[in-house]
Amino acid sequence: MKRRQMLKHFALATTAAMLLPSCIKDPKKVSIALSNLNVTGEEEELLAAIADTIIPDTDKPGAKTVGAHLFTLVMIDDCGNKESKEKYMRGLRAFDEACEEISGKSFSDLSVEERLTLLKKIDKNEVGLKEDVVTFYMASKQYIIQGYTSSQYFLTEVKPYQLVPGPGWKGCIAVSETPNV
Amino acid sequence: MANFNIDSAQQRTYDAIVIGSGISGGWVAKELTERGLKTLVLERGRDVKHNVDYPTTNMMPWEFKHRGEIPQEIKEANPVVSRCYAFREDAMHFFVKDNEHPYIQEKPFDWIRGYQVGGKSLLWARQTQRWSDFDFEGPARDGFAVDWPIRYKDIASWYSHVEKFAGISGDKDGLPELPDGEFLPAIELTCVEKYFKEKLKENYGNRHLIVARCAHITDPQPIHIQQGRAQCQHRTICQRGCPFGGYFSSNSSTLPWAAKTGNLTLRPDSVVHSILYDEAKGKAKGVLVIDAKTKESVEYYAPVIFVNAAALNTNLILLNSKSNRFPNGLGNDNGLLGKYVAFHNYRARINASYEGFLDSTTKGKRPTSGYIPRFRNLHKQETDFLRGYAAGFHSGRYDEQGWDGLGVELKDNLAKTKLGVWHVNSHMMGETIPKETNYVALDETQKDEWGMPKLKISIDYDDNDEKMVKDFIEQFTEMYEKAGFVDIKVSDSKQAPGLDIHEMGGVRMGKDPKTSLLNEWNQLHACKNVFITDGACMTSTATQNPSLTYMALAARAVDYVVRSKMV
Repeated sequence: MKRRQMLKHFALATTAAMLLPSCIKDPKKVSIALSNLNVTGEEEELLAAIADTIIPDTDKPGAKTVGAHLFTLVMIDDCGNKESKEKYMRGLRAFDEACEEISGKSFSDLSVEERLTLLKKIDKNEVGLKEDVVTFYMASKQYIIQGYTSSQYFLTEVKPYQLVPGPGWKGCIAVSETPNV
Repeated sequence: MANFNIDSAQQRTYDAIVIGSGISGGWVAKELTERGLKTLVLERGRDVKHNVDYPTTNMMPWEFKHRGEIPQEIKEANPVVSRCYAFREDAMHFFVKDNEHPYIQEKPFDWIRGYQVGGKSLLWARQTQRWSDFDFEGPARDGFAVDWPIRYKDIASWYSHVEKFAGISGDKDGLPELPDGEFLPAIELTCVEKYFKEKLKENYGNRHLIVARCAHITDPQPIHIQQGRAQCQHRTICQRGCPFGGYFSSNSSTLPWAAKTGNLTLRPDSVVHSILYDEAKGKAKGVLVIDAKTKESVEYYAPVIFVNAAALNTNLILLNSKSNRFPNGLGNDNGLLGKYVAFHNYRARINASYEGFLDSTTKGKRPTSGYIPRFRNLHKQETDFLRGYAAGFHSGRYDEQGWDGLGVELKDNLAKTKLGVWHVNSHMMGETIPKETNYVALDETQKDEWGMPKLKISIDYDDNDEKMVKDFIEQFTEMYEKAGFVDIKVSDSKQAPGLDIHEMGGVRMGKDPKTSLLNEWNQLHACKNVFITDGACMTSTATQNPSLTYMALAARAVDYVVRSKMV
């Protein structure tokens, strides 16, 4: 499987290189249209890797697969104010540096286990990080969780949303009759 | 050519003209057309057809790009409407944006508007409590405003009339301060609400908690099925427009009903500039309309005109209807037009937790909540402020599954549901006292792009309101404590008037033409073929959500027009 994917990527890269020789050295572009944020393809990949660590794919889709990292970028881009956007971007750009200071490697070079260990440290505020980096992480975590729990997958497979619940309101039922509790 | 003009004028002549298609204008249209009168309804906004023009009604949460949130750019461009709880991604297309229709705030006033066919009836909170004589007799008993020219007995049958058609759910509670009506089955209270109801009875005797009556069809009757409306499906996304017609709106109910008679002409995109006065005949003869899109002006004529433009816009149109006879606005002989505007004081909230009933919870969603009718100063004056407040009361348990852990642990946790303790919350709905100093007026110099003077709004709280906020907080804190609620948190939003979206008055009803604008039939004292049956007519505000009363007054006034053969 991995080999096949690699071949596919290789083929794609070769095609791209042939078609767009002048672009090959430019940084990768972000995959969605953003109005204000200037995010690179690498930064998008970093956020995707963070999403995949916070809520990983298991036998069921995780945050990256449902696109929660892209939702995060949309929300920061459209719903944050100027100051919070700037702070978020500073934090995003300083994240890998902070990561290297703590673990000696960039986030993408860490193993899956190492990534989780690192984020747990940040999450519990066990490492002294710059405020921007903490803000970036906390905002990302919040939107990644929101993006995941409001995704089509989550709201159809995990906690189904009913658009038309019907008139079955009950003001008082036993907790034992409630699902998932 | 002369003949053409006469023909054209005849084509623009109706039995009646209704300005506004919102909750009260829709009722006027229904009642007039049902009685065989050719009726022109003018709406300044665009057309919104039931179902056809509800673009978000069947959208799933994940289909909203920002999951309901309003983007920052829109918020910054629209600070006023952004403060409204219902201005969200799913319904923002039904609200007027700040820069589309600017107005002048001499004092802060959040004017929330819905310019489209159906007006704010698409967006309202659907609460429908009747007034009682404790309300109609209020000004006379407590010495403010002027005496209402009507009493409960004058409007009771009209409440019944509109309730049956609109579909109102509720319990018959037998409370004189909140008369019972024609109710469809009520939507059940929660265990904690029932518990609080008992505690209030035990501790106070005269403080009651009931199911709030609301305009939702819980058991469709033939009259609702004939309207093409069905049982409420408890979607609780009413503000998007309801494909079932489960709640009452002009769009789902009165307007299509009026259209079915063949007597309705609905003209959207029609900004009414003024009412035309015939000096020779001594009555209004029609209206001057500016087409919202082309800006062309056109006149329409009718022997009877209803103004239902929403409270403050009704004031604006009347103030702008100047003639030799009425240089200060139509019917404004006493100079009181635009004055004595009032609203509801919604500033205070009180939240708490209750640690009982942990083996119980609720199931599903409901489109209403509990309601505590006014108990302060009800039978007699007992505080250092006038009147009092009603309150909404709501309780529930929520999924408080936290964000514990990271990775697979977090993922597993998010899939679980962890019910918290019961949360209770309540908000005040305070009566405010109409005063001459709370007014709207035309700006002398600034006009909008349709040539209408901009409205100047000068409305503020007073000492009575401040005392009432304090009393609500004190009384509810005590009521909560006596019920064993814990972790009590109170807040005063200090929100500007207007955000309650219950602005009323300016063209008040009364007995005396010297001190009021309208008589007991909502007819201008000084121009008898013009009727005002929206919020502008209100002499006082009581504490109840006002729409039901506008509907009843509207139907009653049309009956008067027909009975007295004005057309």
